[in-house]
Amino acid sequence: MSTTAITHDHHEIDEKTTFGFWIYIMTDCLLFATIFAVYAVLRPSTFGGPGPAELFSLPYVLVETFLLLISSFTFGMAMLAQREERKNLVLLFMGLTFLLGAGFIVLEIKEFHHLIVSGHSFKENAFLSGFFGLVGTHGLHVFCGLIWMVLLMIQIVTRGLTPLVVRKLSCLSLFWHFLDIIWIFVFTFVYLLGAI
Amino acid sequence: MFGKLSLSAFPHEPIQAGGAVSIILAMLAVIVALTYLKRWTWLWKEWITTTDHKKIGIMYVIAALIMLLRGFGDAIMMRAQLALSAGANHGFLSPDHYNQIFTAHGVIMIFFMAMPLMFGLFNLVIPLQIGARDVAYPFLNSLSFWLFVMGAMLVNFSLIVGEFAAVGWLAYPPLSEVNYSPGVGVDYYIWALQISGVGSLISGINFFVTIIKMRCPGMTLMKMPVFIWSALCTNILVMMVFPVLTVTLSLLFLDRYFGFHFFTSDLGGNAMMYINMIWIWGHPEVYILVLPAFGIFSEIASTFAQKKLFGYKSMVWAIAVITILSMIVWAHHFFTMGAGGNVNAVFGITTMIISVPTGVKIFNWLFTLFRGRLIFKTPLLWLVGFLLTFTLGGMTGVMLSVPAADFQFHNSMFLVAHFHNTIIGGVVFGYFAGFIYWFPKVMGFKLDERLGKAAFAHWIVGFFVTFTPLYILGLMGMTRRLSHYDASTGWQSLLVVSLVGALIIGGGVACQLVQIAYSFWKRKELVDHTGDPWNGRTLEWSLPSPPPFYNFARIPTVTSRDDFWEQKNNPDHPGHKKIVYEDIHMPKNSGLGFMISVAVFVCGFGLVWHITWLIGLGLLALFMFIFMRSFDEHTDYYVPAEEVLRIENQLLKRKGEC
Amino acid sequence: MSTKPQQQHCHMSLASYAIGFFLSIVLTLVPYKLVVTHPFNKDMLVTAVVLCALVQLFVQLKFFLHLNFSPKGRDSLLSFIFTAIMVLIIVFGSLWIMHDLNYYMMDPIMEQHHQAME
Repeated sequence: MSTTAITHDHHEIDEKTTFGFWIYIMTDCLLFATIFAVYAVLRPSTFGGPGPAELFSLPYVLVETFLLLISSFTFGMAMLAQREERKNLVLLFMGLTFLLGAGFIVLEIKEFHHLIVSGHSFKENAFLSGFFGLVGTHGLHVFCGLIWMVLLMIQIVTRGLTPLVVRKLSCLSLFWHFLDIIWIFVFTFVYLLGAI
Repeated sequence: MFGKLSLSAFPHEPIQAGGAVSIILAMLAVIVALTYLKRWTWLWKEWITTTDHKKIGIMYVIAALIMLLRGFGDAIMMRAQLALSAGANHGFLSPDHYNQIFTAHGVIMIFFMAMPLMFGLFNLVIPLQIGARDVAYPFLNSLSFWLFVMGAMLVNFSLIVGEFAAVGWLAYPPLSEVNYSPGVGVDYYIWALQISGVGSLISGINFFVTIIKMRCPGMTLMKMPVFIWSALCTNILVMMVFPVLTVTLSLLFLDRYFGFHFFTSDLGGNAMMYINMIWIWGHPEVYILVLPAFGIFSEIASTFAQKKLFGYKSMVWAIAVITILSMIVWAHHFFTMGAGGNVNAVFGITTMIISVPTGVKIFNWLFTLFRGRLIFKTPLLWLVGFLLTFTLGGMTGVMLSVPAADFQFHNSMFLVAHFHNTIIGGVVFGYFAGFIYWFPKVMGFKLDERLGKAAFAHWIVGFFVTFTPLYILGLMGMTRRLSHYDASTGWQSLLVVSLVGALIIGGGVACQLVQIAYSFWKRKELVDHTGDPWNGRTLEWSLPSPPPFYNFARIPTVTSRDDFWEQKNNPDHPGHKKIVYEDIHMPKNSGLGFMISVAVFVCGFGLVWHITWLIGLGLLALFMFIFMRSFDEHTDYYVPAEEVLRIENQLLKRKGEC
Repeated sequence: MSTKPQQQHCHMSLASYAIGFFLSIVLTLVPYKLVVTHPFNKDMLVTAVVLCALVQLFVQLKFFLHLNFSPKGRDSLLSFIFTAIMVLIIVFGSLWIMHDLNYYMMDPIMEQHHQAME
């Protein structure tokens, strides 16, 4: 088996894997689109309870938004470092991304906790069900992304930037940027438009 | 400790207990047989861990046929109940059990019979027809198969432990909410569908990427066989709508488990949103099922008429148009549920438009047969039966698409007859034809013709005897999902006719079972050494039957649409060049697909019965297995060229012997 | 270098990430400021905020996800466009149907809306 054939195979697999992952992300788009539609339909159904304008604090959400946005940028930096095959720099940027992502999750949990203890849990009315459903689904995705990031960091440490690891890294990069885009829509449609 | 699970969950009614016992006995028999024949290692190494698309395809088909028997058993019970339970006679099923049966019948036939049969045929045929050695992601292929199996296991488990949903196959809320269905039936429904649905979504992505990225050199989009086109569009639809199903069922789960208010009838929940979303998935779903059948019939029409398909381009465009249109008709399932004239008019018109591309296809098949040198083998019989039956079903569909008329037909037996007319006449006939058509390719021997023809005769006669009375009953005002009716309605005689029809279909099913067993017994006489038993036209027939595990020793180069036909008739075709063998890159077997699915099953069972520790255990195992997969670097290997040469020589020798 | 994924070959550079990051910050802060300060009437405000989100979608697609418009990325681009159409069909189809149902079924919430509008 010649080495050119092997690199050729790797090349093909890379292309197939990233394309397939892109297609998975497209299906995830539809998943979120459906939940957005549910939220939009249920938003007026507060059943006499307070609406988004009274419940959510915009500056708090702006902080969350920036955490995700910066994490998207740092992940991009990790991808650049990966291209120059600087392993430690990749780990550094991924570590940063992880911290920012974890910070986002912590803030979100605090927001949920605050809402629930102040009597606005998902059990109160359909609007709050929709809100917890939509924002929670995004949070769950971010959480899975964080676990995946840890797995990949372990693999980078133990194996270095092998073709397989790099392939997974580019998939995770697509996933992470995608979640940032979804959050922009959550930020716009749930929080900003809710406050108007 | 065990959540809602207690001894009272085990069945007490004699019919249900009988079902449970027979399932347990069947499982025990399999286990004993495997142990007695010392086949456990064989089972594990050759089948459970396999990533070979052909073996996965075979397992899909076997599972689908087993589930067909169960679904058919449900159908017979329903017909028998309705033939009996007029007036003072209340039949042999309690209303609740009857509700569970019609729910299980619908769920099983769509999710656990038609879908796996479809994915089975995809697995068996797609890589062979596009000149590939496997699917894009062999491991995910194994994973989605086992996820489907675990979903089916959950449905069958509900017979033994607890109950199944009694809410109709789409589980409309508020009936399916916890207030009105407090049992575990709906939870079984949710998790069986959720687990197998995720499997379907993964398969959809897998086959889509396979078709887009792995076609052999020269096979441009417009040179793909029509079956591949139909599979491509089907998988696009799978990817577009299964996420919607996932969301819909998840939200219902949140309502039931955690007390959310998405679809409840209080605190602002909106049950119509569920119905809207489930049909965004549900309508494309029927096209997901029927498009591959269209593809199969296109292959069969040109093979058995021995001429090229009439109107290839219009066929492809018709499939593409149906794909798009099927996404914008969903509201016709709830014309009567309160929408205004604008919505109903728009969705009624889009529905009627779908009959145009479908009509184009019917004419294409007819013109393919017209002046062809027809060979009346069983697959062609199914095609002729399909053309007749499906056209009738399509026409009653156009009747239903008129909103004003739909107020009369909605939820009546007329509707039941209509969708069975299209699904049996289209999907079932199509998949059976495909099954017979590709059986020799996969197994190396043909199915017996006489029994096949007998099965066809039973099915087509049985179909019309069963469902024509249901059309009439629908117009007489009989609604669906009734377990008992008044004798003065005068429905009983027609329902008895319908039962007779179902029994005739039963005869057809029996013929098919005997056909498979008999053909297996006589496999020496029915053997096909040529690899091309039907004088086929596409690449799969260029391979020996059954093909070697790597399919193609050399990836073919395609020059025209029916390339194998071209190769047979053109001595200058590149396929005749001498083969230079090379190393072949193949995926290794992996047990993790199976193990991940078992973990998901455990988790699903815990979620059904609210057993928190079991859910945790399942999740933990799931995470561990995914972790193992993520750290597994040795997922593939190379078959050396000498080994390929050895296998190919062996196959050539076998071909020479006949 | 043959091991790098195709999609990311051409456009990945520090400059592209920096531009994308900068534009995203602007496109986040502008609608935020607009909502907080409330400079124009409701309809215009909603339009402006939604427009910012859509522009940011394309900014991130181009600079972060490197969705490219060359023949190499054609499959990804086409699948994205198709998905976008499906998303529009599902979301607006559902909203239209549900609005219609609520209207004809005299949903109490809709009633409140109509009264508020009058």
